[in-house]
Amino acid sequence: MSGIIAYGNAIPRRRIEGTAIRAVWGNLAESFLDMLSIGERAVLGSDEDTLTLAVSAARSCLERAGASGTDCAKALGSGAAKALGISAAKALGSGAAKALGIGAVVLGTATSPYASKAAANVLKDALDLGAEVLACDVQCAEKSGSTALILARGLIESGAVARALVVVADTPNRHTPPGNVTEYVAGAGAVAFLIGKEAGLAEFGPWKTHSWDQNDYFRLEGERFVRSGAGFYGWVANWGLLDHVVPAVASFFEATATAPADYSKFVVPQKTGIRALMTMGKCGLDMMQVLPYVLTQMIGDAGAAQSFLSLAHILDWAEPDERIGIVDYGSGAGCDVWSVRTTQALAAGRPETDRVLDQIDDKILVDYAAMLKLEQKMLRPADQLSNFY
Amino acid sequence: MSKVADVIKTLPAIFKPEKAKGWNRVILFDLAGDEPSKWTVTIENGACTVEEGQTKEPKLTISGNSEYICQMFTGETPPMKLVNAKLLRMKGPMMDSIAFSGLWNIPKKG
Repeated sequence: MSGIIAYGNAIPRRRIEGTAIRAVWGNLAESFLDMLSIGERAVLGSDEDTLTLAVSAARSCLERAGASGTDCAKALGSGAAKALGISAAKALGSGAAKALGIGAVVLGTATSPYASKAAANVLKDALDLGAEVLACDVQCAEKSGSTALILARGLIESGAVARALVVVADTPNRHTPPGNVTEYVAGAGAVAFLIGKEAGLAEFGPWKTHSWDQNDYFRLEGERFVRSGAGFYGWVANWGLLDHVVPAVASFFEATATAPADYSKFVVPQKTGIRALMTMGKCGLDMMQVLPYVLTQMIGDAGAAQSFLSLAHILDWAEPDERIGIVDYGSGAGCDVWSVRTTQALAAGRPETDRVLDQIDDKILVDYAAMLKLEQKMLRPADQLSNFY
Repeated sequence: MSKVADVIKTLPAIFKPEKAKGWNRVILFDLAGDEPSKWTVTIENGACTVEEGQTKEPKLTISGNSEYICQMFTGETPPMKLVNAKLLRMKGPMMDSIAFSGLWNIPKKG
């Protein structure tokens, strides 16, 4: 048994409207904006990247763990952090990992700032979790988060570590070239789950996977921007997506002897709204199990973090004893399907501030030129010393 | 025949709050036909409120003749039939348009 003890989320404050992108490029019929459910998408700040978002979500998660009656709070004393005027995690400093029993930090991302270095180590140091904690990156396209979670669950369920911090962060917007149609939806975000042997707020159920190599979206070594591959066709026809999602969901239902009606809600792939609708229709899910929890029309596609943001949003509002299914697809990576069942602890343990919807509503709209500048797509020559020389 | 004001004012009563937790949206009815009028429906934190006129910036706009809105919410004609026949038009993310139709206890007729 294992479950989610606490969670935190981070969404960039800046957003751009799809209409502002279309006004510059005019490369998409206007009717497609509604058809694909393109609304607004997240824009990175000049100092934001995959790691800063990961740290922000992880800090929030650890603070919430400290505030929700876990070992962290016990170690610190419930009023100590407030008395000191600092967060529980910060107050604990290097003792946080020991107090919370964290033995591993796993970062799931397809947009690590480093090609070879472990970004998870930078994350771990930013959180002051200690050198003895295992840190590793998992790169598995848009399902990097699900795969990281499955591996971390293995560490816990095998008894190798007591608890693990799984952080999923992605910045597809920085890796999408100007003028590409995916620019309308490419966003960013991060979610952190502290998981452990106890059921916590939501207990994990079984998982199933389905993958083989398929030439969907990809990014080559040394390249900054994602290539569409045959995924460009998938933009409209969802080639790749359904090849993996449909058999993965079918094998999950068969293995768990469950049916769609046994689940109150489903998280589904949502690069655009069409993907959510196609998954819903082809997997026999009801629209009200799926559509209210799709976030793409408000923040765009946060890559690997998208399905985790959708799950965090559900946990912000769910009732105890709800069974929730998660269908996570990654381009060229296949599909993972898993589930959680919420517990009685959710009502008292979930956050009251900085929920997913709070972060979605807390926004600053920027125009296209500002977006290009913030996402560092207007580059100066490397030898330019200042604005004038 | 139902008056559109009477029909729209019943929306909070036929609203399914359990389906809308975390689904906060502002919807505008921009109506022509027998009873030209505008109505703002706000769904927030699992509650539905209705105001006459356009009082907020909408995320979803539903336009068409008032009589079709009456037909939709009294169960006389299924929502998708009215949309497919272009008697009602929805402007906004398609997912929100579809989700909107699932938020109401619409009486079944015939």
